[in-house]
Amino acid sequence: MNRLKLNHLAALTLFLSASVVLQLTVGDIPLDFFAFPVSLSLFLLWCALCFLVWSRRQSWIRGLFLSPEATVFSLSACALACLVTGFSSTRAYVHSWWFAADILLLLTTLFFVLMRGWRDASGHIRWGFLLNHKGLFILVSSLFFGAADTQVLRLPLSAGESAKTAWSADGTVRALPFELQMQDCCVDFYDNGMPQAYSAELLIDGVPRTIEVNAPASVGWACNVYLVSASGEYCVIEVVNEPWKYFSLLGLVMMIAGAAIMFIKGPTPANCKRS
Amino acid sequence: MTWAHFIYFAVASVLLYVAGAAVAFTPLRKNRSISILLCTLGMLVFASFIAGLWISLDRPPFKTLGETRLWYSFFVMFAGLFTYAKWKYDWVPSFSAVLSAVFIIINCLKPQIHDQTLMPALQSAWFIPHVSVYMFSYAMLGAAFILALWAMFRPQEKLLQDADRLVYVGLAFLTFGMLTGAVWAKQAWGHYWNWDPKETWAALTWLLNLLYLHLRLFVKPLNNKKIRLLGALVIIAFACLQMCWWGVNLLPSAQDSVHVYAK
Repeated sequence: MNRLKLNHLAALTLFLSASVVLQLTVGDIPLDFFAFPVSLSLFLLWCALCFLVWSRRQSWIRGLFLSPEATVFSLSACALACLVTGFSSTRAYVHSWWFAADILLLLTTLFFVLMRGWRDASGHIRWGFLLNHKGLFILVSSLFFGAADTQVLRLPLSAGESAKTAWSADGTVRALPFELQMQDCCVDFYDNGMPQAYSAELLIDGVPRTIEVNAPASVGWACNVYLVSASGEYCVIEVVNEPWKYFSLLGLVMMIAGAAIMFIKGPTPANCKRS
Repeated sequence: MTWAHFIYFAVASVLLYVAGAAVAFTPLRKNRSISILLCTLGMLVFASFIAGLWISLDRPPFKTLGETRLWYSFFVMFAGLFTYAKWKYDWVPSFSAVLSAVFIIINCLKPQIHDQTLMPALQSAWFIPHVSVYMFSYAMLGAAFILALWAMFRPQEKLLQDADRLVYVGLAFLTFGMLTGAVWAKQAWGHYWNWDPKETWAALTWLLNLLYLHLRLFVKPLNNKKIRLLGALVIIAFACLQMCWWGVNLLPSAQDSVHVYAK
């Protein structure tokens, strides 16, 4: 990257500028619109589009996303987005088009870099590279495309009370996929009055379950029931439905393995040679 | 063992660190093992206090800022000693000793460290691995920061090559810390990632270190200006790490953070 390719930088800047224009004209991303099946369709469409561009060997866009400029630009853009969000007093930016464009740029760059291959010159698999890049791709894809499918609902429950609805963060009442009934909730305190442990005895669709902080109950394949807080009289329950969570976990595990290899191997020989 | 005993262990450790660091500047420096031995003895004294405190508190001392400073003081000396043993920079033990001493002195003056309680969200099997790998990564990135700072005044390619190794190790542990934190967050609050202020600053620190490592692959050949620019990136990444660790508590957004357990 001795001379930055200005046309590459201009194209990437144009892409981000378009997202800023979109943000200024239509406001934040309407997350509900992108819920399943739109989320999955968009993910598949985006993958197909990337693959199509990848398969056209002479394509200028392919060259763009395989260039060092794309890697540096996408990492810098994400860092800038984090910096702005880090100083802001709300998390509103994470629902903006330009924030999403930064993430999409990173994902697209990762897609092309992964398609280029993960073997070294002698044909051996570069496990550290593969696990780190693919793990990050799977993790970020699942959190990004799955964001609209993640539903978080809360409800307060007193002992003996049951509920079939709960509230989303914007105050909308939504139906729960099961019936919740609280039998008992208990709080233990330290001598200084600080809470030491919360627990709640629930009936989930008639099945008795105990939940604590750090010990939620799984219901079905996508849903978890959390204990947010409790007093002697009532507790606050959170129901999180996150169908993409297994992909996120897969990405996390791959990245943890990648980090272990990174630690064991240290800087790549390419790094040492080139530096 | 209580915090009342800390001053004795702190003084003994700092004296041993200073002696070890001083030896690195004397004719005895040709035999680095003397310096390493003295600093290691200092670390052992310090570690014995941490172990004693852990037992007396009946919980791991990771909760308050004072307690995390305790680990940082320990690991920053470890990282400095590791750098010295491996790459033979005579000035590194003294710099690490000063950095470690600063955190020890802060703990002596304003500890906020007597709280034995552990709130429910912190009672998890992820607590120890998450915080300890973070503290180790902070120390490694701290050592890389020192080399980068040195490179700003005396730009040499070798300094960056050594910083690369520290950033690699630091970033690997930072990744461990972030990902174990994500798994824990899912278990405690239902989300792997929630763009909480602390999480956002952790992501920024991670991205900047990642950017540095990628630039090291792409930027060639190096000249003094490029070495300084790359060094500046390591320094900025370390500044963001400080924001993530304690600076975020000063921002208005920290009021909503689920990561603020104790001031």
